[in-house]
Amino acid sequence: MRAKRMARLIGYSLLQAGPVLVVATFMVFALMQLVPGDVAIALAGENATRARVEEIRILYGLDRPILAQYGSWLWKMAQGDMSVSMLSAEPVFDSIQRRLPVTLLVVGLAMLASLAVGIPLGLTAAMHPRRLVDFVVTAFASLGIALPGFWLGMILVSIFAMSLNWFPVSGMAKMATDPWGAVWHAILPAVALAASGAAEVARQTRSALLEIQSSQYMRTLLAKGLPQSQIFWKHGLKNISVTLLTVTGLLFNRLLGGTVVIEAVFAISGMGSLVVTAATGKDYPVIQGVMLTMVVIVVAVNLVIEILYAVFDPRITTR
Amino acid sequence: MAVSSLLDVDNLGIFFETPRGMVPTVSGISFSVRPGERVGIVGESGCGKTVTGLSLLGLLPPQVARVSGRALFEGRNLLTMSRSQLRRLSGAGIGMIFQEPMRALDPVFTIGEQISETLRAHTDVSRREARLRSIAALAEVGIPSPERRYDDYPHILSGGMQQRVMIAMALICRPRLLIADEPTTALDVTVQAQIIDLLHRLSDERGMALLFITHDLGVVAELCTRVLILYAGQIVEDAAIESVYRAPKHPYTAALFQSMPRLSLRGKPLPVIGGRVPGFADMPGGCRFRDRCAYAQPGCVRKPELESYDDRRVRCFRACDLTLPGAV
Repeated sequence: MRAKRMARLIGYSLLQAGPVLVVATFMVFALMQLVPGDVAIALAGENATRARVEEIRILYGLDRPILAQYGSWLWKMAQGDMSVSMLSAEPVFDSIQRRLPVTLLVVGLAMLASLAVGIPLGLTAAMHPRRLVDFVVTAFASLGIALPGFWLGMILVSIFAMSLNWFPVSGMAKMATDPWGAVWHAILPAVALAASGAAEVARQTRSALLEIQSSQYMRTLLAKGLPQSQIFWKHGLKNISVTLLTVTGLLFNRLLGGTVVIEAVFAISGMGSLVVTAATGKDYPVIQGVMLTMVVIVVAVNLVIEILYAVFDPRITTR
Repeated sequence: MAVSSLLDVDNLGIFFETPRGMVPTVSGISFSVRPGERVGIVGESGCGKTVTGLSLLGLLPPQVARVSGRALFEGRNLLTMSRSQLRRLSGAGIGMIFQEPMRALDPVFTIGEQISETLRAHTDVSRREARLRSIAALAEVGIPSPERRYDDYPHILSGGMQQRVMIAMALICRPRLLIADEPTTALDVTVQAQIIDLLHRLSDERGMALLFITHDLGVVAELCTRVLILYAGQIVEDAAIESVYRAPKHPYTAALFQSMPRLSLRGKPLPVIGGRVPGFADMPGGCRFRDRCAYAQPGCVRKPELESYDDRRVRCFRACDLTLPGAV
């Protein structure tokens, strides 16, 4: 029965993710249509001849109806053909393939750090409400949320990279040949990125556990004489896991967005710096490729989280 | 008396810390429960009946609640024993069930797991054995096909079934006393009757004492042998069920009976007790019921004690000379 419920839920979540993907990809596609003036002229560049513009128009299929254009665009994208950069002439798919692992490494480390620091802090604070440790954690959390990541990044670099020489100042090692070097390079950016994440996780964990502690079933657990450790580790943690999942999902989306600034500060060539360069150079194929990749990743992560909800909370079923 | 009683509460007082200082919610509560006896605690909302029940197992919020007095369970003081001693007694010697079973059960664990873990917290049994005994307990409280229900989550069950699960869980370690805090208030009338019957039967079969907290005098009449009437944090009357229903001695008890709906009142407005319960922060001296009492005299500004008359205790100066209407 449990397996059947899970299967139905996964199917339902996939059905829900489908339309989201269609709408999101259409918006990415529509970016091209939003280019001021004639896209073909923009693509052809300055000083292009009239004939060249018409050639471009047919080459990119811009003379066809918009839905047909969307359909063939999506089909091409799905096959990994993301056309070429207008600036470097490098295939967009290749540069994404090269840069995505770097960004995922930084984001992954930042996620890990946020959860590993935020959850214990939040739990500790909630276990001693209105005591010193609670005030310290709450203050730290407010600070972490208020501090801008790029500022923290610069401070970290000046202390740990320039003065103490523990970490590299900037850049990134090749992941394929030097994976530990890559992790080494990613630590400071990940920490800078994780500060606000850890703060948010700590706050959410604290309030979730406090809410559960004042619930009536916690009183039942006391009344039936369960050991304190079992009340906390078994019932407390499983009950806050749904909140933690939600926080994790939102956190991932936020960190993915946050890398744009952090990659600039640390001169890391990831997705963030790729999209920044593309945006300033009006390199539409690259912008589209990056956005599409991000959309697919975010939708996939949310899908996984949606399914995990049901694992942790039996009340969630298909409506 | 003290030797033969299972629970002996003596001068129990409960105070809550508020921004305006310590506010007493119940004071001078003394009563005892004999093994196998079913005692009702009756009063209106806010009279202190629920906090009295919670205080016995140390379930009041520790940050704001202060408890004084003594509550001996089998000779050991519940109010001063260590957390770990109280934990070993909770669920094993004293069980407790609550008003809203849906909110009293952990939503993310199966009902079977919640019953088993109670058993395993107090006895050294294997997981398998705990499962078998939990299924037997579910069957005993009248849950159909308990083997299948074992793996159900609480939200699948109806309120009545959830309360049965709570009862099975509270009784799995065969406690000598069950504290029931308004267990039927949130349920339909027909389900209410089933739960009352169930508690009656289990208490009889096991010789288990029951402390039944409710605002419903009718339920108490069906289930209990003795009733404590609480008003504004004090016991005002303590008597056997028959005598209190036939001839209440405290004007408040009589007024409660008068305000119960009954067929003879058809078409007429239901009598109510005029005025309202005084707040705990500004409790009047003397008799706490006097402003609302139809029989009040000037002498009632003095503080009445809970005095023994025949087989009962009453907190009223006029207990001897008043003849009050009962429920029968």
